[in-house]
Order: sequence, then structure tokens, then C-alpha cells
Amino acid sequence: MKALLATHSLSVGYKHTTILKDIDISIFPAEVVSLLGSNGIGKSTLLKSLTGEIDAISGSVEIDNTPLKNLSNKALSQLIAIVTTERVQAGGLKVEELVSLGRHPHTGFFGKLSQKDKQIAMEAMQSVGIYHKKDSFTSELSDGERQKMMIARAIAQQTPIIILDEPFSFLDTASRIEIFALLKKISREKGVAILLSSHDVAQSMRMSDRIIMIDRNRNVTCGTPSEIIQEGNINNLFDSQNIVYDTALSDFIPKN
Amino acid sequence: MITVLSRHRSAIVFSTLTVMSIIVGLACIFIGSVDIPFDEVVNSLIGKGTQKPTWDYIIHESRIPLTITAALAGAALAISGLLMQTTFQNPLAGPSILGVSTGASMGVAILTLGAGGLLQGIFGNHIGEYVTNIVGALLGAGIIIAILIGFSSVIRNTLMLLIIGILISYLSSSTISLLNFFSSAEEVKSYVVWGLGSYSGVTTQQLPLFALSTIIALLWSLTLSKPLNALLLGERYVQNLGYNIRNLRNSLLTISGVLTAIVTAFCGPIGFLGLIVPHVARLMLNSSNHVILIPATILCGAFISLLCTLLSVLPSSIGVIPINAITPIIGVPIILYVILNRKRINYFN
Repeated sequence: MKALLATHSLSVGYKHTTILKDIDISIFPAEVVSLLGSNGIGKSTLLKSLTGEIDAISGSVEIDNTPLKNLSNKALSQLIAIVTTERVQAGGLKVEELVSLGRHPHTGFFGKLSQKDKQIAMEAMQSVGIYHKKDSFTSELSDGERQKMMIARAIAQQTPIIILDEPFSFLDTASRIEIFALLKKISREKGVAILLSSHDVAQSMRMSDRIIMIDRNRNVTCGTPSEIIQEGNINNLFDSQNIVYDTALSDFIPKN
Repeated sequence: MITVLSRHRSAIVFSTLTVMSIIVGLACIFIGSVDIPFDEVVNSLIGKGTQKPTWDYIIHESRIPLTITAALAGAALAISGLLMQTTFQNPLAGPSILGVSTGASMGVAILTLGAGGLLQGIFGNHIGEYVTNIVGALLGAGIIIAILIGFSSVIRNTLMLLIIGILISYLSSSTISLLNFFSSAEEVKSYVVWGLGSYSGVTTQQLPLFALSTIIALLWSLTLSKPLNALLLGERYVQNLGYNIRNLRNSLLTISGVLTAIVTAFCGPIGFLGLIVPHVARLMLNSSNHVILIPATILCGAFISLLCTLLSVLPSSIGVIPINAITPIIGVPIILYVILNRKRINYFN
């Protein structure tokens, strides 16, 4: 199968500082990939480099076999949809209006929604279970509902790739599981490649198809959860010497 | 059900604003510092002429241009403010706060006071004066917008940008004061009169140019609802939706600057309207969807501006109150309301 997103000896960072280097990863249709790494290790920087928000220092990113550099903003907007960590307020917009903004790359100059656009937005809201809130103002939503709305917006954009930066950070356990399951459902049903960053190691190890791990030495490795465990890499995830990965629990526990 | 209600709501808002604007606009033609009987005004309007020829003259040469100017200037400043608020994602942005109005004034001051009537020399006194104003205002506003754009590509934080705008505003004011200090009494007087801000300075000869330029810019603004709505999501999402954020920001600020510059050139610096009207429009519609917000802001800007004009001529025989003495009285309570209810209203991030 062809990768939807692939990097070749990619180095990412800002101006004079390289944060991560020698990154060779691929993401395929219909899979959910979790990006794991400790705070400040460069997860967001890597994601921003993949979405074209910041330029790579060296190496290349290919989206659907086209170098990212050669893609126009418009073309890119039809390939990747994002959900950021920032809390979008956009008060004064209703959930339906906000989700419909995902149709922007597909609408004309005035942004007028066709019947088909409305249908797609409606289905996106239904698939994340937020349709009953479509006439609520975005400011009236709980954190979980808000995150579902932002995911619905990304789905409405109808891109083959969705990239989410810490989609679970404001959420309780129930919502985390629910939304992860939802992302998995979307990837299976629509063939969307989903890449998300998370701090919830246990959940990612249990529910992801594959893991991209940035370990404490800033090495980027990629594999299925069992590969990551078998190769012993998982214990390099954090700097702390006082914790160890427990396979049975699929989570970190204190070292005795 | 709710969508039907809200669709209803915007229909009510639009029709109310239109009717109110027409009523207040007509009131501005019927009421003024000179007492003209009601039926005489009607006669003048339908072209029958009036008992005293001066009445006819006052209505056609003063009140009608004043009313049209007030409506268009209000709409233009309101849209200018809306574009700035959405672009900077900041409810307190506006042409006067970010220094664009002051910048336009500074441009006019430099050309009127500093350049010593250079353009007046070329074009003759009368036309020269307003060419000076237009060129000066466009240059001044242009410089400030360029500075804001420059800073905005370096500084992402909208609060910092607001502070920079305020600083620019102070610098422009001090430049104006310095120019005043070193200029002749006569030059200062002509500048000061303009600097008070007034809708009555636009003569019937200037009106077509003023009307045409503001109407074109306003019509242009009606085409911007798509990118403006995308901006509500914040910069990262705008980019993800296929826009080049820098180009988008620059073009929106340019249109906003041109609108402020045109109004300032013809009417002098008019405060507050750009800041308050978008808020009134949002509160009335209970929506920040630009598809309806832009036309509502235009109507609401015209209405509030006409209302201020009407209030300014109400003392009738005593004289006309400067328009800038009235806008803050209406504006400050609205801004306070928006600030105090920021948590509940939160239109921006």
C-alpha cells in the first residue's frame, strides 16, 4: 500500500535549532497512528512540519506522493485537516456554522454552501455525535463536545489525512476513550489516515494501529505497539529512571 | 426551530435598521440649526421650491449632503472596525485605537502644516485643500497600516499589537502637536477646524467622489465574508483551510485602512464608530457569522452615525455640537458593556 504521508531524512526545528532529525516515517490510509513523547520533546514541531505550518530544516515531506513544498495552500487544504491544541472560542458561531467552515476548501468565492456541503457537514456532526447540538453556540459546549465539534469540522473538510495535536488534553477518561474509538471508526469507514499526539501512553498503546515514538534521546521510531514493546524502546520514552513499562497493564508503573 | 427563529431574527434586525436609518436620516433633513417649517422642507424635497430661497439652498447644499455623508462615513468606519476586529481577533481593535485615524490625521497635518500648502499651490486653494487632505490621509493611514502589518508578521500576540497601535497613535499625536507648534496661526486654524471632525465639510462638489469611493469599498467588503469567517477559527485553521494568512491579513488591513483614510480625509478624525458598531451589530444579530454581520454592520454604522448627527443638530438655534463630542457618549457605555460581559459574549479567542 502507498503511504499517504511519508518523510525522508526529515529534520525539523526553528531557524537555528534542529529539534528532531533523521525522521523517516510513513502513514497509510485507514490507520490511526499515535505520536508519543515527553513534554517539550518536539511533538508539536514535528506535526507542524508535517502540515506545512513550519518549513522543514532539511529532508522532505511527501503528501500523497507530492513533495509538501510543491503543494499550494489550497491543494494542501484538500489533503490535510488539522485539530489544534488551541481552544477555539469563535463565540457567536453555532456548531453547525463552525463545522461547515470545514467545507471552505470546497466552496466558491463567497463560501456559499451547496446542498451537498450541508449534507456533508450534517453527516460529520452525526458521526461524532454532536448533531443534536448543531444550533447551540460553540461557547455553550463542554470541553468534550467542543473537541467533537472540532473533529467534525476536520471530517467535513473531507481530507485523506487528519492530524490532531493532543486531542485529549482537556478530556476526562470517558471522553478520551469515546473520541479515540470515534477516530478509529472514521479511519476504518472512510479510509482516513489519522495521526494524533498524546500523553496517554496506555490508551495509545492499546488503541493505536501504530506508534511513532520520540524517545528521550530524540530518536524517532515507528512501529506497531507490540514492536515498540518488543524492541524495548518503550522504556526509553521518558527521561525518568524511576518508571518502567508494564506490558500486562500496557502502562508505565513505578520501578520497585 | 431555532434556525427559523434566528433567520427571523436577522430579518427583523435588517428591517428595523433600515427603517430606523431612513427615519433618522429624514429627521436630519427636517431638523437643523435653522428652523424650516415641515411643509417647506417637503416642498423643497419634491422640487417645488421654498418661500425663502435660502431654505432650499440649506436643504440641498447642506442638509442632504450632510445626511448622505453621515450615513456613508458611519458605514465605512464601522466596516473598517469590523475588519480590524476580526483580523486581529480582538474586540477592542478599531481604526482610532490602532492609530489608523490618528495616522491619517498626521498625514493631513504634515501636508497642511509641514509641506506648507504645496498641493494647494498646484491645485488652487479650494480643490487644493481637499486634495491635500485625501493624499495626506491615505499616506498617513497607509504608513500606520504598513507599520501594523510589519509588526504583525513579527509579533503574533494580538494584545501586543494593540499596545503597539496605541503607541503609534501617541507618536502620531505628538507629531501633530509639534507641527502645530511650528506652524503659522492661519495654517493651524484650518487644520484645527478639520481636526475637530465634522460631516458638514463635504460639499456637494466633493460628495460624488466621497460617495463613490466609500460605496465601492463597502461593496468590496461584502465579498469578504468567507475569509473573515475562517479567521474566527484562528490563524492555524485559516492556513489549514487554504489561505495564506499573511496575504489575507495584509489585504484585509489595507481595505480597512483605505476606508478609514477616505472618511478621515473628508470628515476629519471621527472617533468610536469603528470600535462600537461591530459590537452593536453582533449583539443585535446574536451572531458573528460575517455573511449577515457585514451588511448588518454597514446598516448599523449608517444608523448610529445618523443618530449622532441628529443629536448634534438638536440644540437647533444654539449651534451644532461637534460630532466627536457625541460619539463617546454613545460609545463608552457600549464598550463597557462588551468588556464587562466578555466572558459571556466572547466572540473571539
